Amino acid sequence: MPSEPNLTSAALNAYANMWVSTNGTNWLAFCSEALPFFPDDRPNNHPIANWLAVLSTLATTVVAEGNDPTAVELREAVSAVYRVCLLCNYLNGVPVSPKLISDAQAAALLAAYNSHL
Amino acid sequence: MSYPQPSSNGAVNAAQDFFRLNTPLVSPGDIYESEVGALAFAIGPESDLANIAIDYYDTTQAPTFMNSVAISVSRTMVGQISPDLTQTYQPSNVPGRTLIRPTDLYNPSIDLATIVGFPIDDSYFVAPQLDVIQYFNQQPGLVPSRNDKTFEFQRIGNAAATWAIVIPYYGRKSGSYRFVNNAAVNQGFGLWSINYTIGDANNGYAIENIVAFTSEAAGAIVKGSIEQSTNGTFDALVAVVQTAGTRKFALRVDVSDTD
Repeated sequence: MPSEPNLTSAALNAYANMWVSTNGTNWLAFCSEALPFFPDDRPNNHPIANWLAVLSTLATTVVAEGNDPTAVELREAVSAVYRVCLLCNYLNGVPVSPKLISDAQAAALLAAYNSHL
Repeated sequence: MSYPQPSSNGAVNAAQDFFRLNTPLVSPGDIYESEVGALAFAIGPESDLANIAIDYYDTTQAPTFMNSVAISVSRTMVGQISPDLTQTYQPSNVPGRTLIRPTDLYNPSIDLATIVGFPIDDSYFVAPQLDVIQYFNQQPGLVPSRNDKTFEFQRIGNAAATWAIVIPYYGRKSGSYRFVNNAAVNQGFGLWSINYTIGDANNGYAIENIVAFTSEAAGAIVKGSIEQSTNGTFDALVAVVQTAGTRKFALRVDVSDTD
């Protein structure tokens, strides 16, 4: 499993990390671990949860097809992870108070990445 | 993402025929949502991005209930798409909102010095514009097209420096450039095309030189055209301008979806 130090690094290395050994099960586990930190009752969480919904849909399809992602499916999954990491990093860094995405939420997304991808 | 997020609810409440999501990207992961139904989606005229995905709630798509359709400069989506906020996508349990997201890549953190092969003092990214129109009434004969665009620059920065100016292109069919050195001393100019990819500075892009970087004499003009058949399809242009003296120059880049 990777040990990316921050979300930017996690995003930029998503292809290298996910290429090695991930499949739909890993992608689902990543989403399942991260989603509870982005409840829907807070609108600022929606963008992150929306990306995780897109990725979980793809992951469910891959698992149903035998859990051996095609190159196109892997590319789609990597793209979703790349984007959700950079979006979370951006929202966490917007200079408003309270933060649009908290430090704890950003850390939770990174922890889910390092645990499953 | 721009905050607060643009919302199509207001357009519906105001009884408008359409809602226009017209905003620059602020991060590579921008994703927008809509809580109201639509009868068509199309790329808007100001869009720099060429490919957009629409994810929507679809009861026939068990077990996830999410379906997706791609719209582009050559393809609209005509047909009823209705979010269902009382239901959720599975297994995420995210409510069944309609999602709008670019599929074209954008990466403003790329290492431009590595790309062009010599030091860059500073860079300026023109953020790609996302323009998607969500129609609330029937749209027979809907033809999407991006406007031709012109990007013009003069006297960038507060001191003599080497600048990289990144201009969105996203599969345009043709373009033209014109650099004029308006200073009394030599200034440099070069032009590259890039395709964003997912990776770090060493492999996060693909690049091709269009105009070799050259120190241009006072009054010099560098101009030319870019053709898809010659230069390929790419995401952005990188113009490198090495300013000196009064830093006066004029750079104009035109991009078009026609040959």
